[in-house]
Amino acid sequence: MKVPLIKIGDKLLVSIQTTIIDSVVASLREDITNEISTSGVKGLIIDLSGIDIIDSFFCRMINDIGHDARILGAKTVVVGIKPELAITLVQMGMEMRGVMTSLNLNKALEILK
Amino acid sequence: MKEKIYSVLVEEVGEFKAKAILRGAYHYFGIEKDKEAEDLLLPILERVRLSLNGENLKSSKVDGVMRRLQSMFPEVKRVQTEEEHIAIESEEDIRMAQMRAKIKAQALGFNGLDQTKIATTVAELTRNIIKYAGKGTVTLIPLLTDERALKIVAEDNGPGITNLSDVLSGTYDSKQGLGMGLLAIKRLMDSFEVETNSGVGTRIVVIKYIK
Repeated sequence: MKVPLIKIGDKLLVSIQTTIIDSVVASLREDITNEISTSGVKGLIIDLSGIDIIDSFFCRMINDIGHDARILGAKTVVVGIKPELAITLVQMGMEMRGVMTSLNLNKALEILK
Repeated sequence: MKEKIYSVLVEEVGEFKAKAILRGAYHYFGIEKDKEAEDLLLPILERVRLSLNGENLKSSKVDGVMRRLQSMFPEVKRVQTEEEHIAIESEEDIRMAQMRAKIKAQALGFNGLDQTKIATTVAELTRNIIKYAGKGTVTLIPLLTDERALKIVAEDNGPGITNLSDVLSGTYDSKQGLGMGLLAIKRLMDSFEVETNSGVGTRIVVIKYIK
């Protein structure tokens, strides 16, 4: 199972539709960093609207991808986190460091303008 | 089973959507075409529910369809009362376990937020099992006393947690994130107990009450 990467202008959209396993995470990070460095996109949008559960592992993966992107000169915006997931993350004491968040794709595109 | 679900969906949402929804649900669990999967009835029904929600139907309509589907399968009722024992042996089992926990929580009457907390807890527990012990089990136990609750027991015969007090006080920062995971579980649940012996294994018992 591969997560598709979609290029929109100078931005890269990654839509994660289901909880993914470790091996997929490794290849996803590689794919994203490769794409950023070869095409020089300035913004990375990670769409989590299809995600029902965010555990600490998944949260760390998002942070790591944001970190990778920043080192390569791209800003990351995470969109589409469901309200109950936001509350759960806060209660767990998890933070999304190094990434910006926004409600939806439109707002993310504005942030990255 | 597939035929039964299909016939209800056709009546409720039409042939085209019924086909897409059912195919999607079976495909999600990697079930081959033309195969049945009786033991996956509940996870499949849960996927059907998610797909119906995705169709922008009214929630009362979705509830109605789900009630019709559930009434056809008496085994659904059993979910509310019976213990469920789930073997955790591969990463795929993490997703399966969290989905089963969510379904059970839903059947017991937990609200959406608490269902999410329970599923997240099971995700943390099962991931720790895979990461540190390789395999183990998770048991979902409905508590049907005055205070309804769900008890979750995660057991493995792995290396055990040697620095438990550091992990739980938050002073230990694991590179792989065990500390974060255990702390998260403690914060999400109403009751949290760990028994761990170096070289013997770990048993974690958590309880969430319905508020």
